[in-house]
Amino acid sequence: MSDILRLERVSKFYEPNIRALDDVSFSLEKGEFVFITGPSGAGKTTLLNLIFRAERPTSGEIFFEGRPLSSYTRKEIPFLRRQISFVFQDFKLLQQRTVFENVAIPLEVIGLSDSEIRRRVFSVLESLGLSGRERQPVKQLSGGEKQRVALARAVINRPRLLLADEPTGNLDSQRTEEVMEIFEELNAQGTTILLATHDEALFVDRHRRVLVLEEGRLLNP
Amino acid sequence: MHLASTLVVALCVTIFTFFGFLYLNLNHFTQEIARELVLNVYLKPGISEAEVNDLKNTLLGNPQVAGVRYLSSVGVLEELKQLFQDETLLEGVDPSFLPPVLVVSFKDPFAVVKDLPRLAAALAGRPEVEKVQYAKSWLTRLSGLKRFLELLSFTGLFLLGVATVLIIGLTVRFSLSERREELEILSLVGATARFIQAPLLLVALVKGLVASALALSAIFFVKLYLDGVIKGLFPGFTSGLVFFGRGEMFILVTGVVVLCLFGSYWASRRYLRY
Repeated sequence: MSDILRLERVSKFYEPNIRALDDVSFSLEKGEFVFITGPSGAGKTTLLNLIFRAERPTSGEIFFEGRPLSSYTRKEIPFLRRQISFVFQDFKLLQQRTVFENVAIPLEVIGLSDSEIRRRVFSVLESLGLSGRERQPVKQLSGGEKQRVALARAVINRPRLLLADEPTGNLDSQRTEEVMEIFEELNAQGTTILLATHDEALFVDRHRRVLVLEEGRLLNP
Repeated sequence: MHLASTLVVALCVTIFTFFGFLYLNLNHFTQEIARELVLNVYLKPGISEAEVNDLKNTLLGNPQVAGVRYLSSVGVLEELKQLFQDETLLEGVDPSFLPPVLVVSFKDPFAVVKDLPRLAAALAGRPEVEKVQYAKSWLTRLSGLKRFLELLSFTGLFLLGVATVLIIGLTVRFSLSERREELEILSLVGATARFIQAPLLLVALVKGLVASALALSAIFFVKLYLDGVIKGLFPGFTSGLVFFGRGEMFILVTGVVVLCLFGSYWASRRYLRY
């Protein structure tokens, strides 16, 4: 299987002398489901932000489907983000808008017709157990439901790579299990997933590759 | 929020435009006053018509001269009667002792202030000329006043302009800050900068147009009101106040629209996470 993602000696330093990541190298194959774990401050979020091109590494290179991320211009980043989706720990949903409106955003930006948008949104919401909630404002949902809406938005345009940063951080154990089941299902459908979490319970007994970060260094590349 | 920010921009532009309106009319006022000032070329008695025409043509050949009017002795007496507004005062006066005069008016009296002494001296040296007179000191003082008003107006306009630019920029940024989260999320889910910013720039364009239209309308109504108050108040100033020409209005509207567009573009760019 070919690599969808490859990091080569990636480092990220912040002024004056904060070492967020130090010489990190690993690769991800298509269709893999990989966990990145480590204590708070280990560099998990920084790593995901670099892959998402929300930040640039201080040194090293990240390759997505063989192309270095440093070669992407500012104008090309939106198109990169249509292939790499992100599920944020704080959901990053528009609270005043409805579930439908939030999930439809990635389809609106690529210019799909209203009918196609409707079809896809309803389909994704049904698959994530959110049928009937389309017109509900997001601010009225529970944490678990919000996370599912964030997931729906992330997967609706069928990204090649899905990044998730502590997606169950704000959820109870039951909702956590539900969300993890959804991730497993998405992976089974072919989505490559890189999930960052400090919660060992998420990946123990799941027989998935686990990368361990500590103080910016990868302990098991 | 859109209405509030539009009104703030309109208010700033109105203040700036009013200052510009003041400058425009102060300049117009001094020009009008100055045009009343003429060069009087008193001619020797018995001068022939041919000599008068020759002198007239010589004066008209000067590009700074707007017009030359010949007043015979009788004409001078008539003008004096009008000036005194009492014909009985000059009753029985023999006009033959009054010298004929060529009244020379200039296109831009302020521009010829420095050249007037030389011109007057050259004319006085001609054999057919008795004397040359003009309100030298008054014109010089008026010229100085005009320069001072210009300096004051330009300085005021510049400072107001800077303040207006800053306020418009801050107003636009503030009105966009409400949408900060939305703009950030759009940039994170694959929306291009054009997709995100195009609607914002359209709103900024409309805001700029509405604000400048409101400002110009307000100043126009001020002009109409002041016309009734000022007309005929000052001697020599019989026309009403002037308003901006099409070119000036176009520049103002374009400037405001560009400022709003620029402010909106840079303010929204800050929220895009590329």
